[in-house]
Amino acid sequence: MLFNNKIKFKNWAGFFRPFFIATVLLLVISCAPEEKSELRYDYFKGKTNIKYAKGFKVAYFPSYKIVDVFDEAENEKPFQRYLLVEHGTNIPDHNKNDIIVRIPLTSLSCLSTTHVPFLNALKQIEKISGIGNPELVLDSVLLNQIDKEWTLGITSSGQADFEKILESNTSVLMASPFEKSSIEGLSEFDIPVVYVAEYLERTALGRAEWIKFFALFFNREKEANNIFSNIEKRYIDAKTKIDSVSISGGKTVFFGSYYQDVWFSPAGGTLIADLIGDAGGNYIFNTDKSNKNLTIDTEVIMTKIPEIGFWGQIITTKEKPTIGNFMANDSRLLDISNKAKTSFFFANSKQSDYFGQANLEPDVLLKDLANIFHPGLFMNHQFTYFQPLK
Amino acid sequence: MKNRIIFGLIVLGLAVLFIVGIGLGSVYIPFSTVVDYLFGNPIPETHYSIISKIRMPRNITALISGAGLSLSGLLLQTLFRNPLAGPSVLGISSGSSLGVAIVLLAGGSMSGVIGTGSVVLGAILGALAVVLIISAISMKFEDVTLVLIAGMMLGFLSSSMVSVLAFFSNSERLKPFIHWGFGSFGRLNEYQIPSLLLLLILAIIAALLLYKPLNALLPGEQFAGSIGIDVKKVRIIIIVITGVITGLITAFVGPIGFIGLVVPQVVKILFKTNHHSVTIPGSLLLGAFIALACDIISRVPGQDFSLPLNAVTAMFGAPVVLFVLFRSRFKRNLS
Repeated sequence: MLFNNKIKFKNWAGFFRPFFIATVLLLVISCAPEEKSELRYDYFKGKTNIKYAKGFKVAYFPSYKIVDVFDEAENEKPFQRYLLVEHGTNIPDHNKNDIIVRIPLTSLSCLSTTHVPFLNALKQIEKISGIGNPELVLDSVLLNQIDKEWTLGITSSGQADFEKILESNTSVLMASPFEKSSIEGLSEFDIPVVYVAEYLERTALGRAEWIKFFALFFNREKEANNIFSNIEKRYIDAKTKIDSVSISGGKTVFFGSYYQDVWFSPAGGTLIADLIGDAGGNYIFNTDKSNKNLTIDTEVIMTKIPEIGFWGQIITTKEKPTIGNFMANDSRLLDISNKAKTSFFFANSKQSDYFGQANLEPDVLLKDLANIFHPGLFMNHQFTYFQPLK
Repeated sequence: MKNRIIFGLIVLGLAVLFIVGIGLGSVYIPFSTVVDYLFGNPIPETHYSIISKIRMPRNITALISGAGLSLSGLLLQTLFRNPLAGPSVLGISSGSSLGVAIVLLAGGSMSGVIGTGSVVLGAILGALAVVLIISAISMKFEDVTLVLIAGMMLGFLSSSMVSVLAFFSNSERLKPFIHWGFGSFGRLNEYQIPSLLLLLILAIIAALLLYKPLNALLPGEQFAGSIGIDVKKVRIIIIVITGVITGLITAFVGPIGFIGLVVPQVVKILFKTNHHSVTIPGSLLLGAFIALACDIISRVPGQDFSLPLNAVTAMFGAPVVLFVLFRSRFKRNLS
């Protein structure tokens, strides 16, 4: 009997052995990374979609994201395609010009300080290992990191310094497309360059939406979606209020600056023209829907001044600006503007983070302008970026 | 014997500068690490990348460019029998700049084989065009001053055309061109240098083969013709060599002023001879030395900024030109 039982046991063991082996095999396969798991496991729980920004697109796959960056909104062909591949997963098939970036990033360097507020909003400041033009940084946390040399300066005389970039031990370098010529050589060092074209957006909301672009590199889409929807709500609320008091054909607004005998002014298809329009202003070059910087002769400016109600400019100075600064200290223009009773407004990038934090506060820019064009419209609003010349 | 000592000192100086050039940069690398690198000992990976992929190519580019531009200047000074002839003075560099401007401002770039090739071609064609015009003027008119003024005017004309092109160009395209215009030895990578080096070696061989006809040209073309030199052929060869060297170097490193003008002068003062068997190797070595020295100065060791290379070469070159001018006037007054 005992013998029989033993035989039975042996038979049972033989019976279960294939199941046991199969179970172990399954466990091993399921624990092994790469191919099979990523077919069914979606690494990206939080996803985003783009509503206003025209400069980038994203497509999601279980273990990677395809991100296209455009240097012109009308272009169908991307300026650069990126494959953001989750760490520990296989790199998918791709074209030789595509750039592979492993995400989430553990470190990054930025050539432009304008990227800092986006990273700050996503709580990724501590990952910045290198920053261009550190003397322009306003963020206190980043300043502290620079002070302690956790974040290194990566430019010399304003130009990308390859030695410093290498020393910063960065995973990627973020730069603007117009910097391409000075950083092309970096490809030799296996440091991917991520081009950020937020400055080419034609609407303030489009520019703010680039927070979603930065979020893609840290798998922080959920946070970016929340931040952006708050920005969007505040902007739309402000615009609705402005629309309720604005009348079409209001005072004409000029925006531009003077350099070496020529006046430069953004065309009607640019972000500032759009912002002025949303704030209830009638932008002077609205008919030209391009996003160019127009060059205008002084004679043309002279003939335009009488119809200009508001004259705006971005300035970079520690001094208090005067009307002369706006009019290139040209007495002929000053006389005409005195007679026309032109009002002046400005944003001073030395006193406010116009080129940085303002990117994430389009609603504040809008309220600033609206209170200049319609004084007292937002009663409790303090001028932050744009302000009238007093 | 004296010449050998001078050659030896220049070579020694070059070796010292080369090591200094490897050791200095915006990132501090200990001297012991540089020595380890030179002896093939293992060093930290970041330092290895910085030395082998940034500083070495930069140093070698400086050597090649300095040598090439000086050779080009020497040949032009012999051809025009004018001590103030040089790629920048005669407008040849400006011609190259115009060629590069047309390519870059039309949307070209310095990346890829086609991009780099088109910029190089533009620069060489621009340089050759100016050398050909100057040469035609010099054949028609004997007056050396007139040829120099014509060269300067051609330079101004090219520069003004570049300005007009830049004015109508958008900022995205303008930036690479402005960046190129500052001049830098740090743009070539380890893969581009061999092609530049190969072309320079070919130009040097051609120049060395020409040293006898070049010596014959020193007293004048009539003398050269009377002793059986085919002056027209030599002239064409010199034009092609100087156009290709200047165009090629300008395309890669930007318009570098003064080196081509000044170095042959200093060589003639140092060696006290016009003989090309001395001045050709002398210009090559001293040109390489001065270009490397200017590059090291432009990096402003120990500081967090760098100076434009062109500003440094001008700071070095302008006093030498003034010295040559005053010296020749002083000698004339004495005689």
